[in-house]
Amino acid sequence: MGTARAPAAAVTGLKPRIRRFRRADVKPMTEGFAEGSIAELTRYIFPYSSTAAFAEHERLTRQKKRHRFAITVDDKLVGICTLRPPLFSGMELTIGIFSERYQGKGIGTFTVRHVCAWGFEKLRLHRIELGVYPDNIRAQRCYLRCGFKKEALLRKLLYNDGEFRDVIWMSLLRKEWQNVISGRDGGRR
Amino acid sequence: MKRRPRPDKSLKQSLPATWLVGRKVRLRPIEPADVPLLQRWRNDGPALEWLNRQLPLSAATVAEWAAQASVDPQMPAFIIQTLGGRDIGTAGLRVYGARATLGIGIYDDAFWNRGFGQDTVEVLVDGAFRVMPLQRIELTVFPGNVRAIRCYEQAGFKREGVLRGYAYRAGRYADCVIMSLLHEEWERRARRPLR
Repeated sequence: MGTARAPAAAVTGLKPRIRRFRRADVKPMTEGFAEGSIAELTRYIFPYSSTAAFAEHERLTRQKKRHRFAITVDDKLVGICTLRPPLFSGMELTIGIFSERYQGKGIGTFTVRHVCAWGFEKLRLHRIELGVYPDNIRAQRCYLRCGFKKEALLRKLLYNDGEFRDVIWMSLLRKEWQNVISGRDGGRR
Repeated sequence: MKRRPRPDKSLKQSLPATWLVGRKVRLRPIEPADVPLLQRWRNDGPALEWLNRQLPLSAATVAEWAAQASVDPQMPAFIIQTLGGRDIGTAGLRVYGARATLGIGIYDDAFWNRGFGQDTVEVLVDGAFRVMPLQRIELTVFPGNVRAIRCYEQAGFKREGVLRGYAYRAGRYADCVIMSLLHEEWERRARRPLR
């Protein structure tokens, strides 16, 4: 896969790019998580050593079950996005943009669209699913813009920040995605 | 004075021991000798219509599943027996941390529509929340399986939504209803007495 450049770059002045995750991304990613700024929106995990980080990287690379992408701006890693085996069906998408500087600037929407297109085209997926906390309105807006639909509220699904939390479950089906890219769903989002 | 008839102890002693006993069913462990029965149930019969995976399974595959289910604490599974000792189906859980998925099949349709399913679900859920530190037990069911949905609702499960394109069956992707029962909801329900 080549790199993809955001069409909306001119608006914010940022030029995000998506490429396959590689070994050199392990360290900045580990630091991004260790900083904890997105733990509330994803999951709190103990900061882990570079030894553990590289071991995990080798394991995931060997397994080939997870497709990981790096989100970069000016060659700096600002977030990651993955397609991984699903909770229910198809594949599950996860995304995290580490720094506030890069949040709310359309980078997430650009990434989700790009990775979904890749999954539907290259992996021939019939469905991409994801979970999002009910209070994470910004992420929900992003997913809706990309064509995802809310399908269930999974109660007390996972433990984060001291309690079991509800998760909104969303999905995008292959046929809907085809409508989105061909403009048959009513144009701009 | 006429004495009341004693319960038939000989019958009870001849059945495999279990404390998972409800008003209509008892859930007993799966043994290697059950494999032919499990394979017959799984590959043909009225319940097949509602199973997620419909391809026939070999005896070896069923034996492997039965062997794992009989030892793996993360996938407790049982044969559903009537109190009289007749085997009518299977029920079990898969545990993922604080979350578990529930599966049940009554393969003898002479026992449909009579509360055996609801009793099974209640006994299994009650046992699971007593034994394991679970937050939620969830299950998926095809929207057309009205009988099953009613059974789960009566056992206390709440509908959470519809998973679209969940399974490929009968030549197309089919939706699935997802339902769950939380630990706190189980606590509010009257506890069943232990046998």
